Amino acid sequence: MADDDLEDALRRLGRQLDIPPGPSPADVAAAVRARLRPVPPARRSPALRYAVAIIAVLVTGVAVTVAVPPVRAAVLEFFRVGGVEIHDGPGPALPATPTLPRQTVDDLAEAQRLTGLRITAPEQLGPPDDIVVIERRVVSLVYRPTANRPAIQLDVFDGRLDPLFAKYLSIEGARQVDVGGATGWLLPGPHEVIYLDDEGRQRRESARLAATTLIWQRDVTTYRLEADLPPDQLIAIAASLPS
Amino acid sequence: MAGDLDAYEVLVARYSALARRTAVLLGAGADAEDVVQDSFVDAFGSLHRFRPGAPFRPWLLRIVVNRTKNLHRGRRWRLVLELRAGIEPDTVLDPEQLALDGLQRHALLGAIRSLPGSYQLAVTCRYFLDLSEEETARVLGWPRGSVKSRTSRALARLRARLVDAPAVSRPAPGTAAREAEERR
Repeated sequence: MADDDLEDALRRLGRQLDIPPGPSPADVAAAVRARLRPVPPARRSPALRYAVAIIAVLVTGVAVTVAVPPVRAAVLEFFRVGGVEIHDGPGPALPATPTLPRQTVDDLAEAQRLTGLRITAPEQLGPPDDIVVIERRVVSLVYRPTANRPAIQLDVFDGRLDPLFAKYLSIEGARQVDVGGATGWLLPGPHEVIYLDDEGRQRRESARLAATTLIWQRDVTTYRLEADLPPDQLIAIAASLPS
Repeated sequence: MAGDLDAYEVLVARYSALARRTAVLLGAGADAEDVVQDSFVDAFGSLHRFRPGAPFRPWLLRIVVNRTKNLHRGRRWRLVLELRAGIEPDTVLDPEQLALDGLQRHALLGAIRSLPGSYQLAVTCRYFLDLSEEETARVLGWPRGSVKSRTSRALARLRARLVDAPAVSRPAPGTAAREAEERR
């Protein structure tokens, strides 16, 4: 038997070996955590089973700074993002164009009609220059740059933030802020947003602007505001969104 | 420090299946769950000593392997390689092919069990845990050259054992040349 054939046969055999099922990855993780530091019992979320998929996405494009505590830095180093490794330094280039079906609509009312979402424009900005509906789940309000301000984009996602997303934002160095009563997170660089649609399925959206981003949730809708603006201005714009 | 624990939880979730597979194959049996947990707890404790950029996988599995071996301290330690019951075929095959595959599986497994323990370990790491040579060296604590030589010797012995097995259809290397020579 040729070597290649034998090695293939061995790998096939490996896949057929009996490994009795054990506790789920989430349960193992919870058990290990409990031993490292006991936590109150009411805490555990079933969303941890998404952890493996999520973490890879969350740290895309965010530079790991020298100031990150050693343990966290060590753990961040371990993650591979679908073949892209996390390095100390600037994040990977943003994807060129999203491949999801998108259509440009003329006004907010039509975007509302297509998605069932309540779409309003921040009062501080006024009506957007372009409105793009993506797969009937995301509406992007695009503001082209003017003399007074850079390009701004507000994305509205039909879904709640995946609970784990909040947890791992802290790893990325996101800063928690208040957005008109709701909790928001400020992110310094490009990233993805993971949200759960109304059927509880995970959805992802990538950043398109290399800018500061503010993410917040209101009821069952998630928002992302991207602009090369100081954080307090982003927060003000976000807070000016009619409720 | 909560952020560190959060991050580590994700790491544990990601590697728990592989850790379990390693423990089970190396004979942990009913203790596999404990071995896996203990290994992760252990690993966390020394995480601060970790060189940035160093891979986690072989480092974790080394802890798992050592803990599993220590389970049976004093007693003879061996790998546990068993086939699953009722294995589904990878592709649709005719019944004869299925039967041959079954024979080949058992023949191969039997041949592996007849190998010296270190050869079995090499085969397990390289082909059943899908570790690279480098990773295998780290996990088993062997020089890389030993991984290489033990693996290739294992393959040679397996090949020799399987020549007699019913499902092998390819002629041994050199047969064609020999037959051509004899015809002249």
